[in-house]
Amino acid sequence: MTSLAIHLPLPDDAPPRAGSAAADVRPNRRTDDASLLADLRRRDRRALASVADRFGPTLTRVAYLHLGDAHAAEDAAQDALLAAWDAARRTSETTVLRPWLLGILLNVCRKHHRTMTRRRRREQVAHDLNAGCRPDASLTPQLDRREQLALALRELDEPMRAVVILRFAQDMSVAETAQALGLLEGTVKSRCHTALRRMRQSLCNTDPTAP
Amino acid sequence: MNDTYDDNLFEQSLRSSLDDLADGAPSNVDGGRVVAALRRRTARRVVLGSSSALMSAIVLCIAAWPILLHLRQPPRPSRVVRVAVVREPSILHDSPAKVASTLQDIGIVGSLSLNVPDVPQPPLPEPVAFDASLKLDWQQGLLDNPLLVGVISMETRNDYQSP
Repeated sequence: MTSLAIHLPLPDDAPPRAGSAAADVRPNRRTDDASLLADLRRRDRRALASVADRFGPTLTRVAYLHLGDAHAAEDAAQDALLAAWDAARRTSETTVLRPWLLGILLNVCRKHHRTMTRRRRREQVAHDLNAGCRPDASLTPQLDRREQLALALRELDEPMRAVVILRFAQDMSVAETAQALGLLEGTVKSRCHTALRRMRQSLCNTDPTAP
Repeated sequence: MNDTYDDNLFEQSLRSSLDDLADGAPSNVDGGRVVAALRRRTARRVVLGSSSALMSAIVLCIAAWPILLHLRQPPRPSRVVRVAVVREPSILHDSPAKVASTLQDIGIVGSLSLNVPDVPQPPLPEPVAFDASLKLDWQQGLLDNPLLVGVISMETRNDYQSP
């Protein structure tokens, strides 16, 4: 499969939307990021605030795509920033801030996802015990296209979902994605290929014109 | 050729659709809050600033308070189910352990086990007044309970300090 990266020009008078992939890939960002990470290593709290201001929207958007829950996404983003503070001293000069942060976030998301799954299972049991009935499937509303996409994303195995989010929601290269997830580039490519095939299949089953 | 063209179109469409989907994410994680959370974490054992955990704790406390006060003894399993119902995902978003930990951190209860559907174990929590204020516009009716002592502002809930 050929990948098609779309990079739209960003005019100076039209700043990118906060949290969008383009917001974090301006040319002079890399040197800024390196000095921010160096400050984090030196335990400078102002650097943590700057990282949170700059990457907070990105982290919550990625967490939201991964977890599908706004509150959990907010928690995960904040937990990831605190985890980054703890992990900063283990970074080196070669660490690139954005993939490193996103890697931490996705680890946090995995933890949240496991917790959410266990909790939903418990709550379902409690609900069934209390209500004595199950929801009527005929009352389930028709999904709109955004919901279909969210569902297709959630149906992916977690490792594949992470690859899709980084590659297509964050416009990260195969190399950056591999760095963030600690994978080989070949693994990223194959997961991406499989994930896209499954998503396409899933979306075509619900709406032939999707996404 | 057609397959490649279709793949490219799909990827292009996916990028745009994911971007739209991500617009549903909250946007209130900022430097001030994260540093405040870090300061609290390193200074003392308190809530980490998780808004949903604190809201969950408050709602659960409001719901469970009359039960705990009236019983004055270990709740029966049926009572526990009432608490579990309040913990529906649409209202609360955190694990029982996290909620219990939050309740303890902000000093509302001394000890409470919330492993739904398990029965909470004694000792029962003693009501403890807390000095913040609460503004729950979205569930104003809950505030009619006179047993609820204070208010924690939605806007400043992340900055709430443990008493």
